Amino acid sequence: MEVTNELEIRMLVTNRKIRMFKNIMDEQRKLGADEAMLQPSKEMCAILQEELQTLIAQLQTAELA
Amino acid sequence: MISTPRLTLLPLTQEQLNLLVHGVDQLEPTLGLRPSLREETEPLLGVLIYFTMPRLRDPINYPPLFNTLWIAVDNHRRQIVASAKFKGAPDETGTIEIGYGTYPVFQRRGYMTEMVQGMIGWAKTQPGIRRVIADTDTENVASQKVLEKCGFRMFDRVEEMLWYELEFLPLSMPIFKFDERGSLLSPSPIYASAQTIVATFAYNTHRQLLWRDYEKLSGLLSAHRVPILFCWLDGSFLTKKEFPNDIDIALFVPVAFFNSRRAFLETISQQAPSLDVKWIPLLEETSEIKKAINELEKMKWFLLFSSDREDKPKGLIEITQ
Repeated sequence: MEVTNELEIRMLVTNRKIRMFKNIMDEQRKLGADEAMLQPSKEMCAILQEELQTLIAQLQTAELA
Repeated sequence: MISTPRLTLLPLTQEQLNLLVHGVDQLEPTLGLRPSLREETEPLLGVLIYFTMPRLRDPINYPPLFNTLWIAVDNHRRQIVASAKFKGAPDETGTIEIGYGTYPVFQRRGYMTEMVQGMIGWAKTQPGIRRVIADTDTENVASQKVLEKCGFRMFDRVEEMLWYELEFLPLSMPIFKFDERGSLLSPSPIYASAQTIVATFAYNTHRQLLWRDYEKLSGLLSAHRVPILFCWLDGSFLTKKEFPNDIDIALFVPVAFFNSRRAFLETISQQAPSLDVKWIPLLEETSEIKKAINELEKMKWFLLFSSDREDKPKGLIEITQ
């Protein structure tokens, strides 16, 4: 698999995981879950967001090369 | 090579087996051994020529250590005093079979028991092995005694053949299956005890050191009475990767405990640096709504942990007591 293809797949997957986390957190909030309970999820979202930014940067570098 | 109090157990290579079938006296000088004045005879000779040697030419499908002949060298006498072999790699139930033999001049000296014990001890450390079996003739009392001294028990009799077994782990325990990438196959959490996990995944020193940190964390959690609701393992420790970086662990705790003791929980997990610990709070399930919130919480983390970065599925384990 080409580097850019691999990076694109990882980006899509990471992005989907972020959306999945956010969607489920919204459902939990609607059911009454408080922010303290959702704190680890928010931290995981931040980690995934950071991964996504890194992947985007890597993809841009790979495309320029 | 395996060392026992008096013996060195050596698995023979293809070349060494070739020498052996042409005569033990061809092999002995190459290993710096004194002559044992014996020859391999049928049926072992036929097994070596027609089964073992062809299998050793295909090490991917026939792992050599489970297929070749092992010899026992008396360290003091510098002589071959016995031989044994496993009859292939573990089957789908984690069972291997062992066969063994010595020579009249070396009988009644405990060599055979020592060799079988050494081989069993080695087999116990290999991944995926939970049971060893052996057969022996009803009239071969010496062989039966060897098996009994090694902890085997008879479990079947077919005409004049007695079957013995030694279980390391109950056969009822789950058997882990892996995909072609070496990731654990499972659509949902697999329930397994720490004992099963050790037997399957802590198969080299590196992995044993990682697992030691898990045991350390486990001890700290018990000592501090941390109420763990579930413990999931995931990540490369559950793959066939020989040297995983760490063990990924998700620990579910009551939300009240999590909120009041978060700093303390982080401090505890830092004491086990080989673990990547994720603390996840769950509500006390006093209503259907709280149950639903918890189900969503578990689903979220399960979806995260059960696929890799390329979205390929991978299994995770929930540790049972």
